[in-house]
Amino acid sequence: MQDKQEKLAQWQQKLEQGKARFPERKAEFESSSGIPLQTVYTPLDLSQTDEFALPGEFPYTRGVQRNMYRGRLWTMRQYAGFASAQESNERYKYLLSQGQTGLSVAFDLPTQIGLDSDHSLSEGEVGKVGVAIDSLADMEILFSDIPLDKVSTSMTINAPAIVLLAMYLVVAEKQGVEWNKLKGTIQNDILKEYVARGTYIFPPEPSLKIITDIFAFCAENVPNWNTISISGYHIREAGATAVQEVAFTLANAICYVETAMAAGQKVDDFAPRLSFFFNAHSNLFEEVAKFRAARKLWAEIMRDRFGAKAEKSLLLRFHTQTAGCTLTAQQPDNNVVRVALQALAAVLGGTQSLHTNSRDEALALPSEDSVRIALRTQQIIAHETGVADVVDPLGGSYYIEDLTNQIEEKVKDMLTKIDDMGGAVAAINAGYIQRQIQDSAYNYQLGVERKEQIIVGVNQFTVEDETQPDLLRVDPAVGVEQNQRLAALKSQRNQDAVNSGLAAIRTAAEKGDNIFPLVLDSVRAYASLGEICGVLREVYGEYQGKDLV
Amino acid sequence: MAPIRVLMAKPGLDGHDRGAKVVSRALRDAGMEVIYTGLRQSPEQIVLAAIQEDVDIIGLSCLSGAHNSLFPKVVDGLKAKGAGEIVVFGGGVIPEADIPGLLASGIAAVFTPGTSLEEIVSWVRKRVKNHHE
Amino acid sequence: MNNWQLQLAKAITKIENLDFQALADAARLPLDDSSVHIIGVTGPPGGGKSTLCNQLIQGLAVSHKVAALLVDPSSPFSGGAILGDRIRMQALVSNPNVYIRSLSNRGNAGGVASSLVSILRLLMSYGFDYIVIETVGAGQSEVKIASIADTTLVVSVPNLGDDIQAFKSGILEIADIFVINKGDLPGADSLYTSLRESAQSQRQGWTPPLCQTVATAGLGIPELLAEIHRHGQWLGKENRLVEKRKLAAKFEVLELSRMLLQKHLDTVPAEVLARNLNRKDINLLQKLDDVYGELLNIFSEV
Repeated sequence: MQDKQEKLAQWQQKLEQGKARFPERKAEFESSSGIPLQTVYTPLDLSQTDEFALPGEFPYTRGVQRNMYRGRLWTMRQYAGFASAQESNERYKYLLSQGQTGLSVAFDLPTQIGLDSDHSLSEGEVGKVGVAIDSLADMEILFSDIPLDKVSTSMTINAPAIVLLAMYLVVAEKQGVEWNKLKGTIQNDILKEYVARGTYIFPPEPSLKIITDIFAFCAENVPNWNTISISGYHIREAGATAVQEVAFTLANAICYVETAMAAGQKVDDFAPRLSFFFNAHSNLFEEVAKFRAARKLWAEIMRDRFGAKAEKSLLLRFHTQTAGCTLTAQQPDNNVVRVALQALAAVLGGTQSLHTNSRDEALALPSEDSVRIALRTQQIIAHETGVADVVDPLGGSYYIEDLTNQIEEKVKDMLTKIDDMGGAVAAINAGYIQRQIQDSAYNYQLGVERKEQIIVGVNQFTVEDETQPDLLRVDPAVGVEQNQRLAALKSQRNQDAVNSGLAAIRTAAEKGDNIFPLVLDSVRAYASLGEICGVLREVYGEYQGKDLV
Repeated sequence: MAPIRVLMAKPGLDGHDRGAKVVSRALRDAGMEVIYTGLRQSPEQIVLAAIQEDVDIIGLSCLSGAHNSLFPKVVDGLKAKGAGEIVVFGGGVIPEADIPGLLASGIAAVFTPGTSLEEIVSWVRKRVKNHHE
Repeated sequence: MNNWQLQLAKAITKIENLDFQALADAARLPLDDSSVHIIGVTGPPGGGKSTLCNQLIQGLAVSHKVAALLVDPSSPFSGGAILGDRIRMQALVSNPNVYIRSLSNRGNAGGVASSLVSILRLLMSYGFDYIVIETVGAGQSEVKIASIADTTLVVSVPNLGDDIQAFKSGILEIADIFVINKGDLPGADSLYTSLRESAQSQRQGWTPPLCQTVATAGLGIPELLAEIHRHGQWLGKENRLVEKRKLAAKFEVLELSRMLLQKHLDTVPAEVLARNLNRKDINLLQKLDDVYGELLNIFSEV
């Protein structure tokens, strides 16, 4: 030890002498979360308490399974959906035929905030960022000829998640697939909507109540469904650093666990179905360390804070998407390289599933060609690079281990601060989390302006006369057609059944009963998403944006 | 010197307000008064707020692809209410092919991803100054 | 329908920018219209003031014309400001009975803009029944709102950390009505107990009531409106309202004199200004109706 320290000191002396003659590129180097970086890391940086850590064992820093991708590769899951249910269904079948292993449904904004396509606020938005779903009829088309017992389906849906999941369950019913055969995820993470993504409907308290309704219903009836995907992705996209991404996500997760436990559920009944969703940015090693630190933190929180006993409750399983905000509109083909490196970080970090962004997404929804390249990127990483052949291949790197520890410490500090404020909801209500994220976003942008942060093709290495690639255009007629379909449906369905179904939801919501079974009944009667959410809006009220600048 | 007054608004339903907020801060740090109206604003709400606030200029941010139907409605609404002199600019994920149409409809400028804050700030200054002269 | 709003908005801008003519025009408008009720809403940040104001305005606007002035501080570095209080009130924007305007305090330490009272004169001339002024701040700064508003609401929420601490610096004394917002949060009871003492002390014959609200759910708003109304009635008696408005006019004259002096000291030699001031034999506080115009004349002559 003494020896090593002396040797390092001598080395540092020589380093300083060298620097005096040839200064370094920057006065200080730091990670994107502001963690100062040494010139080199050595065994001296390994934490004294580092145990002989192995993957698949507590605290799971090195991975949630013992053999990870040697058994089964991660799920390659491309987020897709646009225009009508018909067109999206065709895209899904295309992706499955190309070797994609799971579906990921993007809904349009009216669907995401519980409005029908014919609502005045929906104008111009129908089918734009995802598929428009107004009723069970649309959902039936969306999954036609896709056997729901053979695919796992992730649905990016939050405030009205209960309705969309109910639709999915009824489609399965009609296909003759038992609910316990269904695999997939609903995002269902409302707290991050208030701070980062903005597709909220109801205030926090009733929103959390709906989420616990879903937990309870699925624990009994849809046992293999991931009932929530607690998402740091959008928090990071909104500008948070890697450390803030983990801290705010875990703070939200803690809130969900506390809420469900306060509603009388046992932690080991629902915790195994909690899943996470993170962002993979370009700072490769910091990202890998972030995933490792998040796993460890969660395992300790579940065991020590919530007394979870079941091993599955301790595992932080997560989906990753590469960072949309790093995609440039300039020289868009460069994005293929960014995405490849970010995807590599996710794989080295032990992700369970992965979406790779398409090169043209800073310009529009991705074209089919771009989506294929993005999927091929994952396949190249999986099959050509060999990185999937050894578990946690960066484990033991002095740098990675130190970075993992530093991120862990910083996240713990932030969690303590949020606890002191009264938890995630209180911190959101006080605007604390929003402000932290915005400060980071603004500081980052100022760094770009000062060229402390180089973005290739944007603030350096630019070219004149860029040509834009062919972009996917959503036919504006989608909105009109969707409205016609909805009007036709409303004239054909049994209106009495719809009315009594909606009345039953209202009563249950007012009484505080679990609304899930009643939402299922209404969905079966072809009540529209907007009608069901409309009743809930009346009972629960609507959240007023609290976004500070 | 009277500060420039800016209304920053997000028409449509998308909740991605990082850009709108970062630009708002930059305009504030350039000495302007920025009225931020939050998410999910209809063109009509934006027009009425701009009139009540007597702003010089309106910034619209949209990332959902609904810009072609929403941005021109703001310009038309201002004209209809006798406030056509208020300048309107836009930003977000907007394909280049859409920009000429937006400009033709009366949007004074469209800033796409990668635009520097400096560029936006100096454009706003110049545009409002020209306008006042 | 918006033509008057367009006009009003432009006139406010001119006053804010200390345009001579606009200030002089405003100075000629009366401030003693007793049919208008000016309500000030203040308290530490994070207290849900905007949400509360939103509810109040909604309640008032059912049968009355309401103007809201939302004052936020300017950045000490750039002089710019982000005025975000509107976010919670955007639902009111299409209500033809309501006019909402965001104001920067333009560096004024008082938590309100110097030109605020001139703007009030203008609003009165537009026939508003209620004018709601929201100011932010914690401590001395919001005390000035009490010189301007007829009825001052001090809004507090449980568990703001050192909530009572925030009230030590003079703000308790300015409340005509105490509001405990987010009254459903734990800690509301202890806040109630600690505020009750201050609330029960009479000032010049008025005992400030203590109202509990949950603004996000609209709870307690009718009761609060009733208290505001009751205070308005009380002010209407024994010349109290006139005294209040005189206070506001004094604030206006002093603040604007200071601002205008500041504005002119850069361009006009001090001795010239002093000579002009000496020539005028004016008594600022007694001839409230035209003294302000006089002051403007002094500057105009420079």
